[in-house]
Amino acid sequence: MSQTVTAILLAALVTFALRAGPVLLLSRRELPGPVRDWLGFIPAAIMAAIIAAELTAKPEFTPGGISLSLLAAVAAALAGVVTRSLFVTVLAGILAFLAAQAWLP
Amino acid sequence: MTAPDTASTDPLSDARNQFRQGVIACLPTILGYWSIGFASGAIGAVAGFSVLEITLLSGLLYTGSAQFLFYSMASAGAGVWAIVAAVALINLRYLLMSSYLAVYFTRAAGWQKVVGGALLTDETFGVAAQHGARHGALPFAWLLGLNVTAWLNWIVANLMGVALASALPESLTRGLSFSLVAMFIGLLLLTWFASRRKVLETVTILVAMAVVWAGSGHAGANLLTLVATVGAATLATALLRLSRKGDGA
Repeated sequence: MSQTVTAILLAALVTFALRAGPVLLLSRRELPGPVRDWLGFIPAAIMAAIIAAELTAKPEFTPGGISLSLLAAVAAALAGVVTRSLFVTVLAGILAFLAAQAWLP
Repeated sequence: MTAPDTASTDPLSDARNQFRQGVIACLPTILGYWSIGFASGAIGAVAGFSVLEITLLSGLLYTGSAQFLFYSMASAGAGVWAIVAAVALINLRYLLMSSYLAVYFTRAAGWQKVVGGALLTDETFGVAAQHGARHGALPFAWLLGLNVTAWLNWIVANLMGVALASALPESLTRGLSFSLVAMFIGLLLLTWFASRRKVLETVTILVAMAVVWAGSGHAGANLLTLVATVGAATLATALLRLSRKGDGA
């Protein structure tokens, strides 16, 4: 087995444990109140953190110094607030990115 | 358990219907899977990985960010354990997501927990968390419909990326890659609109973003994401406890 395939299989195994482990081990017991409250804030926290990390890591500046990612993120957020549709939000983000890339200096 | 049983007389057709609903719930995220999966497959092919390796990565590792990481580390000649450790770190967020979803698996069979957990992704988590919060339950057939749709589309999109790697203009690939951010913005907004604690959710979001921004350049993005997530959720929980105490509750 090549070294690459070994790495793939081991990485996949670790990832599987991270994904399935908590569901397997935690679902039988009632979690204490504060832990449940804490877990309730996890989705918003992790998604906000991923968005911020992506925007800071890949701003995609135009030659004129405008961040395409930030601009498209604002457009997607506006579309999302107005329509409350995931599909429209994603579409608006991509279209805004492509349009700004084509037309902005 | 004396919970009212709302199942119809035909549990199989019920499950089939739930499965179909799960497939439908996945549809808004398909565009994201396709664009990111496509980009991921194309990048893997350009970096010189074989079709077998890319198929294994998309089918078993099954996560865009770790696949991108894998390509760049393996191309740079990193050792097996360094790669596995980095992938574990970037995927630590699944530990939190899976813990969050565990409450919905209380009455599920062991194999259902394994299958339901194994196919967890950022996007299916967003969709499932929202469904669970709204309906108070995650039927296994529904989750399976959501998960299998996402998984198959991801693999096919990766392979399409391999096939068309050389034919795409770079500007288009960049735009498609942005769908990752757009998808999280959409999922975050839906989570916020569905929340009953909007003020605290807003605090959570702003703190998490501020931590990432403040820390960028000082620490790796994956570590920062974890620190920001744990910090923001902990702060919001503390504020929630304090406000309850203030109410005398």
